[in-house]
Amino acid sequence: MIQSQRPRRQENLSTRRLSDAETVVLAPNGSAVILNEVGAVVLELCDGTHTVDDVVRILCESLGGSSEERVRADVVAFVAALAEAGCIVDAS
Amino acid sequence: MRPIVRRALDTTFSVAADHPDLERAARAIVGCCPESQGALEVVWELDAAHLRAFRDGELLMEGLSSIGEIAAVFERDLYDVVVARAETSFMLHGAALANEESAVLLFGPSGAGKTTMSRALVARGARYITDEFAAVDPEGRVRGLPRALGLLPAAPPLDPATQTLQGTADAYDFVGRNGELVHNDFFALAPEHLRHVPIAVGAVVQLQHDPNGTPGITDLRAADILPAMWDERHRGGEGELEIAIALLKRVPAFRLVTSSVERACTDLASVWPIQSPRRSAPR
Repeated sequence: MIQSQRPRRQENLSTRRLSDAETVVLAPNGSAVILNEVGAVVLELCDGTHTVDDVVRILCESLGGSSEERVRADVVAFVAALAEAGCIVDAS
Repeated sequence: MRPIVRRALDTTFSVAADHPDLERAARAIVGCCPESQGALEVVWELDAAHLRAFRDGELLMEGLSSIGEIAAVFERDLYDVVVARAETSFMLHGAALANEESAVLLFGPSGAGKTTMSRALVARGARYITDEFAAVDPEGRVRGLPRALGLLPAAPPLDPATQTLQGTADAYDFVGRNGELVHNDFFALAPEHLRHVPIAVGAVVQLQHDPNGTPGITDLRAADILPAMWDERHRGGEGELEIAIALLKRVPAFRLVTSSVERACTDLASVWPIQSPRRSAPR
């Protein structure tokens, strides 16, 4: 998924709380995807209106102090993993 | 044909064969399943004369090549049917062993050592629940499909402790569809090694066989073990995920890197007693 694309999470994703800070998503490909608090925010932002660049910018603002390069690498990898699991599609 | 009547998980079934060698193979396959007086729910008939198999009066497969292949078809179908009929549970493709107080679940990819560890742990005093399908219920108790062990006590890698195992060994061969010789060993453990009654799970262990790695056992957080455990489920919906999560919130989880059976048993015993400690007599 390229950074100008607008990922949108699949509807009716089944989620379960695993701990205070972690959620499990039952992905359409059958796997169980663990989201930490930041991961949950990323999935929430995958609403078909934000680009991957938008998600990186929003996270950098809220995480203050993290290098944009590092955040971008993490977000791109995470969004790719979500896409592979079938949790998100490109809504561009 | 005198049918063999047994029970596995929630299913009482019978199997009958028209040839002594086929009956022997069927007995070997169901050797760890307890006898049952319950009403029959599934009936298999194995027809050596015409090289075919029936389930509940319906033709299951015909044109089979040998008695051994009929037995193999029965074995596969038995597992499929029994697992599909099991009551609501998280069905893990893994092993389960019990001490007097709790069970340990062992899972990992094919070749990780589930059967080897099952055999070794039973030889050290644990009770065998399954080495194939472990059914965890919503209360965190486990039962299993008691498959006859596919490894004989003295099979390599040699584990001297397994020489003490009590049971009945049998085997059959057949030529498969591709012309390859298929050899099946069965070791039906004696009843004193078995546990059929549900028991609370006390630990969940991810097996990782690595002869060149550093053996040992380490704690895993629920988030670190759940995806791999979920990948080893037999079927999975929201209900099963709920049970798996509840289990991991309730019991500790570990990764056991194995290089030798002896070391792996010692490592496992540090987190889950293979034999329950003897309780002192009440005063």
